[in-house]
Amino acid sequence: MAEDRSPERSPLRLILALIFLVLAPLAAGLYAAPRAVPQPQVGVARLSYDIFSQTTFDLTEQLAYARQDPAIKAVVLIINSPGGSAAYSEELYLDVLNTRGEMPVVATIDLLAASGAYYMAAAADEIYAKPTSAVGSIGVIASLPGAVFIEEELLTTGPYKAFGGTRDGSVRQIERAKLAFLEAVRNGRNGRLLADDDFLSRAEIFTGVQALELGLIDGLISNEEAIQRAAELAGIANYEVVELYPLAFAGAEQPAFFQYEPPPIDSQKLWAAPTNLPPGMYYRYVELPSNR
Amino acid sequence: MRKGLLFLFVFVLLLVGPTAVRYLRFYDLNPIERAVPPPYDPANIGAVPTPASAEFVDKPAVGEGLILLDMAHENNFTADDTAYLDGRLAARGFEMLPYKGGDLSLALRTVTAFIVITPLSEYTLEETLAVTRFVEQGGRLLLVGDPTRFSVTFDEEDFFAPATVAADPIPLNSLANQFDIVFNGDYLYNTVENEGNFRNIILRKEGFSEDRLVDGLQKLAFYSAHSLQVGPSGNSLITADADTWSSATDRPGGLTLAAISHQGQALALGDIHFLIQPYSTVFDNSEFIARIADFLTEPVGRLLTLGDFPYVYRRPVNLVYTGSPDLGPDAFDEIIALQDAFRRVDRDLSLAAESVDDEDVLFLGLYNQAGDVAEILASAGISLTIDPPILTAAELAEVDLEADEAAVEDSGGMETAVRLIQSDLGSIQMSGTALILLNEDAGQRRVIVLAASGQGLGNSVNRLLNLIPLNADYALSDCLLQDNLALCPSNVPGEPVEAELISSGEPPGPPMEEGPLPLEEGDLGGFDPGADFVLQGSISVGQTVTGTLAEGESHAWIFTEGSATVDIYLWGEELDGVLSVFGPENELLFTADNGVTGDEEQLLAIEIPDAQPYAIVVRDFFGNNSSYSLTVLTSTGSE
Repeated sequence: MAEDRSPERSPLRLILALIFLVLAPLAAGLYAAPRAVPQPQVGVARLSYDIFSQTTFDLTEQLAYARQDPAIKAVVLIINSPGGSAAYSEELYLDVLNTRGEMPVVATIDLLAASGAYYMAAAADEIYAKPTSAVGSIGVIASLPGAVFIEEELLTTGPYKAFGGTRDGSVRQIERAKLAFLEAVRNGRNGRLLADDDFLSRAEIFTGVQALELGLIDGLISNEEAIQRAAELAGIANYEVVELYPLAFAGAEQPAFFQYEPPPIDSQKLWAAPTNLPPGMYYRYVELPSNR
Repeated sequence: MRKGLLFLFVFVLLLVGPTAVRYLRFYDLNPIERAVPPPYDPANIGAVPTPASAEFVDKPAVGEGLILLDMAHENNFTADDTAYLDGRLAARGFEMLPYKGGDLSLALRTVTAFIVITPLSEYTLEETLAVTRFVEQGGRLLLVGDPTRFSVTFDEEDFFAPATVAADPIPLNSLANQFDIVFNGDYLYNTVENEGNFRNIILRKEGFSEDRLVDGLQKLAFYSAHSLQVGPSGNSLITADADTWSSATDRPGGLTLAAISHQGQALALGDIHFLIQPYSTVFDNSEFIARIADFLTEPVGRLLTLGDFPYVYRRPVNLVYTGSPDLGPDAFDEIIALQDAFRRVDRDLSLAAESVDDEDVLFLGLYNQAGDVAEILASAGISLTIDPPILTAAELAEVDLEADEAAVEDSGGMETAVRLIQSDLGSIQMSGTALILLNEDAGQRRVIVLAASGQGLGNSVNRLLNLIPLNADYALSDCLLQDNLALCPSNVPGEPVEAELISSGEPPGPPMEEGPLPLEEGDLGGFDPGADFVLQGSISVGQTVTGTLAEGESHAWIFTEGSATVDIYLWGEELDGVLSVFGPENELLFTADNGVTGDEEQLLAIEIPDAQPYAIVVRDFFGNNSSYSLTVLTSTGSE
């Protein structure tokens, strides 16, 4: 008896073919797609109040997280700060510049981005503010070393070991730091600065409107629009906005599922003159008493 | 085969499709191209250069003199700030004398220049006038302001009250305005070209006016400066360039940092820092400072008045008694006291029979023996009329008895007798009046003191003694004063116009300052020191005694030379003195406790009505162990 070799396909084969040729690759594709192309995110980091060791650490950790997370395609820095330590401001500037090499960084100023805070912002691709935000104060503030003396019972191996240097030398160091600040701003703004160094050296605080006229910022928009602008620069759509702080520090301080609420800005604390400032160089706005 | 390829295509499509769809959903295929910033290398920022110092060597002309430095108006500077200028002045033989309070016009008597640096408290009208007069008479004035020298005070009771800031422009302007110069309450800045900082202004010769203070200088640096306004009678000395701005106006150009009065007597500078090391050596600053020192020390022939006694003298002084009287111990006291007082202010006074042309002179004498100085008096428009003449004892001995009687009657004060001093001030009775005249002829400076009686002359010498200390109160305030002539009360009731100066008394012993007189029987009268006071001895008019208080101790000095009007002075470096006068019955009459440690306590114009014993009691407010000196002088009437 002869075997039936009709071209009729058995249902089993059809089912197997459907699974193998359609469902399996589709399932694999659907599984792999979010991993290969995760939903892009715009990370939001905040610089609030003084720039010192803790704020610098917090921000650099968030930027490091953004750089290592493939989903994060842009970073927005929301700034409310009078600046602070010169070295920490420079650390933030360099870290933002480093991040900018990998993804767009947009800075947006709420109330105040003065001195070291603007120094950091200058490293971003673009800077935005509100019309009456306070922007600028490009300069250095530092106390000079006191008069030098020597003591009978305290031996040092150099004339300035106990003082750091001469007063006159300190003046020139401070001036050089100011020149470096200006260079950093000019470098970061990359041709968009419209004011000359002599004018910026006055270290004035400008409103957002003035800052725009001087090329210190790129526009007057809301933080939401700044996030959209960061997304545009990153070339992404349908993105998710994430706060970087809880992501960078999840587990250390609070569980990741916890809804993070950035603390509100206390204006009084923001504008307050610092107390007990240790000796050193600062990129910080310090408002002196009004009747001065 | 074809079917296989189709299957493979579908397979891959289904596998990659979701990813592609997702990518297209999330990413723009034509993203915005971001600008890449240039590489940032802060190490490329050049160092801010340290300015060069000019190789200036100061070769001053050496003179001698004093310069008054104001320290009585909360002046905000330290000794270090003036050290460099002080060194330049010392190289010229001049010494800076601090002015810490008191009558400024008296303090200015002895100096050639007055320096005011960053005062924070205002000058009184009297002080302003004194300085103006000083400058008008040829004195030099240096005003230095600085925007960094202010003080901030807080109201400790009102926490929310704003801080009060005291700055130097207002006090400085009360002086500077007299010379058409105004210190602005601003600071200057230059962000284009500066000396290491925006507030360190570089000044170039293009901004220097034609004045010997800046002629030939190339470049200066001022380190934080006020700008100055200069009126029509002032001259701008140093002007900043077009890139220097004022914080007050935020406008650049034409800003003056140093100005000088039209007569060249008052110099105003907007910065103190250029006077301080190391800034004093930057560019031509050191040469400019040397020229400022020249400005302050050069001989200017300052017009001196009688009120400037004894600083009117520039050469050794001869003390000459007119009429060549025989001098007794009373005169020695006067001479010793004057010599001592002169020595304290670096002047030499020596007794001489007559004046010498190349030395200055102080004449003392009676009107009736003023023939030696009649010519000098006449040149000052003063004549003395004594008619009929008063004869001395020797003259009387030479005339016969009848003539003697007539002369004696005349000298006894006939109603028709004329005893007048006639001058521009009118005719004034000699009795009760002392005459003091300053006169200069051929470089010789002469002061003449005449009185009607020996006691009146003694009181007038005391008046001069009171003028001598640098911090003296003005001792001519009760005198009729015009130009260089003073007619003063002699403080001798019913003063006779004596024929000749007769000095008498005990033979001269040790100087009265060396110790108290011992108490004699009956000296205490009804005064009972009890356990409260430790009796020290007696004290007389013109005497200075010293003592040391043990802890909690009070010293009593007995005064028995009433009736008299006296001034009593108590001072000790570590003494917070309390000075009291008790009457013969132990009753407290007067007390003074106005100062703090180191201040002088004074009881002025104290009336001691009789010759009973009065106790002058000295104690320390805190009962501390401290030394003191106590002086009793005849009152000059100032209270």
